[in-house]
Amino acid sequence: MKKFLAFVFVGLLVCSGAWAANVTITATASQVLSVATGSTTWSVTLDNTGTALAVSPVDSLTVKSSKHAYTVTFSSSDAGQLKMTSGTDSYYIPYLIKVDTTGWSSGVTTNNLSDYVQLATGKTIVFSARTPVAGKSFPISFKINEYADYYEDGPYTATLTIGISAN
Amino acid sequence: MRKWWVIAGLLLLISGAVWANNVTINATVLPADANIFFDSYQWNIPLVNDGATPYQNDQQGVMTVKSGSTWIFHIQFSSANLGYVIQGTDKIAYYVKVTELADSYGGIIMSSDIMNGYVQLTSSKTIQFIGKTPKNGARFAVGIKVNALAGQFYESGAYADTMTVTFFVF
Repeated sequence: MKKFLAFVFVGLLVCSGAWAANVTITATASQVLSVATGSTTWSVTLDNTGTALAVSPVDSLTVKSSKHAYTVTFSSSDAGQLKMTSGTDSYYIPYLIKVDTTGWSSGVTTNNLSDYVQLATGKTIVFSARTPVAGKSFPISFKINEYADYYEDGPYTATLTIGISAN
Repeated sequence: MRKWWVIAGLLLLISGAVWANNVTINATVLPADANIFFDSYQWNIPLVNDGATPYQNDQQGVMTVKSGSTWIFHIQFSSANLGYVIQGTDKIAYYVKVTELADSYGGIIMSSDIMNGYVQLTSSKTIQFIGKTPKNGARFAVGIKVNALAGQFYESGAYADTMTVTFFVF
């Protein structure tokens, strides 16, 4: 009888849990992915003496991301060359870019701009950690290598494009 | 002597039957109109994700509790992920609070954490009741709160959890 009573009570307890309501809670955290530089125009003066020109840093790159995996891509007009057009002639000066991410090595998987590189094709920095809300900033450096021949004097320009995408 | 044994046997059977009937206290375990339901079973929380703005909605949903029994009963809140909404290995803590909408039901006995303030469902939280609810039930606002991570982003994306509210009768 005691066993029977125990069974009944167990049954009662089981039965008592029958009235349950399930609520699905869904939270959506909005996405933030952005890159910015301190200035949208960089101006440098080449003395045309054949010596290299380096501006370090020329600016800073600020990255903000609410994703832990993302890639920042640098690309340039004219395959990484400054260009001047005069009449029907065009003149080019190759330039190099470097981005120093050593200050946040734990958040960077691969930096293809850790040393000066010409943006003949797009170069990437691959990240593996979310930034703080204020973002992470990295120095950008600019360089024109030494040269043997004079460059045609005048104003040259290039457009550097920096993009960010989630992986 | 044989009659005596027969009578004794019958008495045992009768007493056993009576005892078994007493066990049919099933009637008290299945009280009339016992129920618990919400106005919505899908709650959506938009997080600003700016490292500063918390989310708080003191009436994310309305819960109605009904019981036609005069017995003690309780409802228990629990979470499939122990008080977190999750997205893969990422998780965000959320907090729940229950507030009686109309002070017409005096059946709540004992203090309850989940009615005293926002609590995370790291373990189940209970509200104890005694007696019948109004016929249309006792209504409660169920609030949700998510704190901002100061200066930090949550991993963006959609997180989910299942909160279960269970009605127990004793």
